[in-house]
Amino acid sequence: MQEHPELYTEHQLESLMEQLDKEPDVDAAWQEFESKLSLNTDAGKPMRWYSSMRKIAAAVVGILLVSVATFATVSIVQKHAVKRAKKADTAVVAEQKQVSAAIAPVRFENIALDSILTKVASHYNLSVNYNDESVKSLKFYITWQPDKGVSHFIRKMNMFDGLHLSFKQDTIYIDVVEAEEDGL
Amino acid sequence: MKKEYIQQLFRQHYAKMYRVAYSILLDEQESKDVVSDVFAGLLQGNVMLLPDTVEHYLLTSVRNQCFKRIRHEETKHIAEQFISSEQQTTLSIEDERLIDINEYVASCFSPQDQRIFRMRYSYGCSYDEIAASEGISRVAVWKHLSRVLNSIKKHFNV
Repeated sequence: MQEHPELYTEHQLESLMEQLDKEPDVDAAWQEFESKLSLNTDAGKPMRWYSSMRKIAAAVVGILLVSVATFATVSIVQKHAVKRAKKADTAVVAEQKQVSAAIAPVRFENIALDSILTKVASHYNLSVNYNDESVKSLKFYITWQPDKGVSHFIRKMNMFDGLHLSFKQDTIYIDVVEAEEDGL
Repeated sequence: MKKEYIQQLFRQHYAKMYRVAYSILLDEQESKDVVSDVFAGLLQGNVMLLPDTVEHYLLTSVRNQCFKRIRHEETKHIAEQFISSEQQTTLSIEDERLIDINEYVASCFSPQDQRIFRMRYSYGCSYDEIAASEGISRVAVWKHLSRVLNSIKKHFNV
């Protein structure tokens, strides 16, 4: 019904909406939740112990595998020419650098524009200029990927109606744009 | 998080959370499970909830869990539990992709679609409340939501 509302009569949609908006029995739901919790707690103890033992076993196996792999690597490297070993080392170091350079994305949830821009601008060493100070308190949901550069962030912010961000000479400029209203 | 506080939150927000889940999953038991999972996650985790945004956090968690559940069923892929600590979170690629839904909706739909989507899935409003607020019929509200949801499902492959 959700995918093809056109296939249903208004009456059918109305009755589905009635059903979806029906008030649930919160007391019964809480009791159900509580009983599930106690079941999990009681049965969970041996499971957690078993799970911990499995984790320890996995860690031991992992360490053994790493040791074997290290020993094998050392043996192989010793057999090869110094020049080739140096090249391989360089490649590994470069790869490690690339991995450590990746910065995890940051999710802002219902956070004021002012706070978001302060954090972002400080990361890129930029300043912020508001055309209209009142927009500072507007709250946004946005994911910022610090490793993708300020332009990427600005493009994402400009997807929101009512604001236009631009970037000139070490400054992020925030302008207010009048949003167009759209009716059905 | 203390059980007494969880109980308080449960009694206060369950109805809206269930409504959001039910209108996405269209399945009573699954919707109950999703809401229970969110509260179970709060009990087990170290999530810090801010009084001003607690309802929004809970409803957003429910919505994301629902989309993950749909995706899980379709692809048999094990989705990680949505984790959010405080308001600012470092996310896995999977989480980021799923909750980028807000940005997708903000960039691809009309202001009215966005408002209706937010009212239903971020604030847990009833169809009656949305219809009254927008000055349109309940069926029109359904059609707006249907259009946005179908598009999200296609775009995010959920």
